[in-house]
Amino acid sequence: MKKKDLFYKISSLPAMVILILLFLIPLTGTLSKAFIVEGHFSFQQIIACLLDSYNLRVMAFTVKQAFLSTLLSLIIGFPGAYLLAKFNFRGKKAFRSLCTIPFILPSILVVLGFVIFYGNNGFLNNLLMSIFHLSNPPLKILYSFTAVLLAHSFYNFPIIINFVSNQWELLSDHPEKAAATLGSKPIKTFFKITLPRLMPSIISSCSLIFLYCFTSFAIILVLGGGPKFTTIEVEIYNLAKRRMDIGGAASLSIFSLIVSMLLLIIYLHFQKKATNQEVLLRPSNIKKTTSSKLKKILIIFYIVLLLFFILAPIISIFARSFITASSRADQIKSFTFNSYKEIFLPNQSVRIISSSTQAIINSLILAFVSSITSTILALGLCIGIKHKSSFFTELLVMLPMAVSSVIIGLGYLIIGRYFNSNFFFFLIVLAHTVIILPFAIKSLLPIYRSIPSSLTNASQLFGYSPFRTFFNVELPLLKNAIITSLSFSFSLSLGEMNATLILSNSKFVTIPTLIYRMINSYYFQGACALGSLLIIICFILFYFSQAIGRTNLAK
Amino acid sequence: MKKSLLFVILTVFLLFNLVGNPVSETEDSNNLTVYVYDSFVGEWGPGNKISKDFTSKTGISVDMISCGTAIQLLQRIESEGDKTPCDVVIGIEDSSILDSSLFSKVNSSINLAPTLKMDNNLVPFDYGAYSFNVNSNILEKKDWPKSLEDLTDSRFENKVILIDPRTSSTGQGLLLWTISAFGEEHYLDWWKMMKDNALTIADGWSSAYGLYTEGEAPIVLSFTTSPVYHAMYEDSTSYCSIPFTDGNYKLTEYGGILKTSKKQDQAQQFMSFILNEAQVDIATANSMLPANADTILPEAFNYADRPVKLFQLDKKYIEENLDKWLKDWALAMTE
Repeated sequence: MKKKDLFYKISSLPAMVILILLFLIPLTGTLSKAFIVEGHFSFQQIIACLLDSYNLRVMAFTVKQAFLSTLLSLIIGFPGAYLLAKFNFRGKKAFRSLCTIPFILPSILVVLGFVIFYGNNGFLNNLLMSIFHLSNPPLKILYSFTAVLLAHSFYNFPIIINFVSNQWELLSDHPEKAAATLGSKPIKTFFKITLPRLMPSIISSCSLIFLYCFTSFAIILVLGGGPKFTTIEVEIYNLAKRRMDIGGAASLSIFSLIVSMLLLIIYLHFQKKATNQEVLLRPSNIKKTTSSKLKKILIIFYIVLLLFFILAPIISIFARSFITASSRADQIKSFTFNSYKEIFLPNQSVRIISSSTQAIINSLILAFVSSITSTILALGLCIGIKHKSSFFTELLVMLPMAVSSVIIGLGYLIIGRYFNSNFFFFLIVLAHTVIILPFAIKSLLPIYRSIPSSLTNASQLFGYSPFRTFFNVELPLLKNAIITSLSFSFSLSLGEMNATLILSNSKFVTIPTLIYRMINSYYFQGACALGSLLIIICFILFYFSQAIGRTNLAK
Repeated sequence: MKKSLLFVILTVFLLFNLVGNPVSETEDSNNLTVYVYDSFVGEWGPGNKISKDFTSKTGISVDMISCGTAIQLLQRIESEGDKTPCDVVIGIEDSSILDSSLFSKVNSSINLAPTLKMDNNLVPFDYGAYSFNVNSNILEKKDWPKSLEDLTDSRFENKVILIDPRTSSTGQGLLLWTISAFGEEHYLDWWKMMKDNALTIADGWSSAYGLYTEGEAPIVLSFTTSPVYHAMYEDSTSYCSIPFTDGNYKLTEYGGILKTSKKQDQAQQFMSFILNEAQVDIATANSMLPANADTILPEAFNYADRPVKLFQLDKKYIEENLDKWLKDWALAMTE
């Protein structure tokens, strides 16, 4: 019995050590500044900050935009979840992979894609202007509240699709059949029986989306059109980075952290509930096609609309990577392969894009190492969380997701000082690991929890140690979840920018940091070319990870 | 399963060693560490050329560390305190607040351009002026704005890209500009009147200028010298700056030697290089005017119109009031 406990206890230790050293300690260090006024402990600063009328307005707006963005994401994503859970159609894998892409794109690239497509001088407006012979752009989508909502839902609807379709797929349809036999209409059955059972995954995905929109920054600032749409995150940035008022920034962060923690607790609670429900081990209730014509038309209509929504900014990025504004006459644009030549034939270029190949190699290695590290750590954590049922551990692991990136950044700045710069690659890997860990846990824990304890007990009854039980019984069952976790972690690390920018000096380049620098020197063509490569890499990754996952399911 | 896990772990450790360390920091005396803001060593920045030229002249190698924005640069120096590896700082703006006792005196004596002066041991290395720039392909010359006040005219509805003073030093420059032009009582009226004309208030100069060159709006807040860049590298003269009849606001960039540096001699050599040999490179790469009045500039600088009048607020006055101004501004703009 002692030995059994020991394995369950130490399995989560490595992850906890990293989290405490790299996240919790710097975070507490930064946040403690909120309680110190002129060298003394005091609540004065926090109270003043929370009572400030301007701050209250900012908080109210932050909550409002996060709520509306979540609602819109739900409306856009829910039919997609239904589609993926209930029907088989050609190109389903590609559709699913495509739906995951927005989620991993660096936000600056999303902003760029939106400007190129929806902007005043964007593809959409130019098209409409040339069709209807207009002299002014007819659509004013960007630089408004609508643009913020649109970009947020572009980013986050994949979460709804993912979470809800996963639960829906595994839900047995016996209750629905029983209801139908008893004469209930399909719509009534949906609202009375299916929807309540889907609630856990809907609420957990919504709370996650709310969390993301709550801490959104670049999208709001650039696409929103100005300070009338100021969020807490913008204000934290302003205080910490422009006015160097760390105390004020920390006070606001504490408010934002409390809200985020509440959301996380809601998320964790309902996510657990979703996995505790009765599940089918094999999804057998997937229909091949639908008989109703109306339904078919609706489905096709939805898919076309969604594809347009996802693909418009992405294809804009692809298209822009081929457009060079020729120098003498600025209005004439020509189709060239210049940026790709500069990426793949770096010797001919003097621009920073010539370090692209180095950036791609660095990014791939970084993503490979940190996805494996985080998945292994996450496995250890899952063992600990399931068998020791520690809610605190679970909350701590998810916390990096909930903290403002500016505050995390300040923390990294502190850590960075204690490290010799020769270790910075190691440090970036660990930082990525901390950031990715919540997602690895998210892909692993629900599946690990759903392994019936009877299996584990039986194995131990036959004399297997917990260690052997884990490797011989549980791990093989987790294969699909591990693949999901790896591919998710990999692509998230590939798209991570903030921590890398802070921790590495300018000489270590990754794909997103190079994109960032090209956008900053408004070399959009190059940024789009590298962005396109990033998108393609992630698409291939998702597509194959699904292919492997599905064949395993079929066995 | 166990074997494959072991294999994976081994690969991870191997990969750790495969990624070489691009920085090798040696503590030899022939090495200077210079903190700069991002764009100084960025794609168009003068940093790389200056390091190379300086090393081939003196044999002293230079490590330029890019520290984010000019403000983050200061933040880093302050937070590192005595332990900072930094010898020289390049890129402190005159509106930034800094404890001047951090720096030792620079010995170089050059013929400073008019209106420039040493500031608490910091030396100006280039200067320029904020201005509103237009894309003449979209906006005809007769329609150009003539002054800050003219810019609030309804013919510019949704045609101007401004920058947020809370997140950007360029934005802060405009805030100070409006305060010097209209006074503390009335500057917010100008901003309120601009609400309809501003297409967007961007988070930083780069995103604002990016939107402008993508053709999102014909007018942007930038610098009088920005057209030089387009004339020099793109052979284009369609981007122009407008000297406003009521004046433009001045910006000066400073450099300095940290007192904590153990390489004062080498640092002095570097600063002298910055103020003499490197002046043309800095001016062209940064699209700013050189601080050394004896610098001979390329022809493209003729496309940068010189401002009629330059505003500059007293540093102390800024220091005392900036927090309040930013707060008032935010309140007014979020109404």
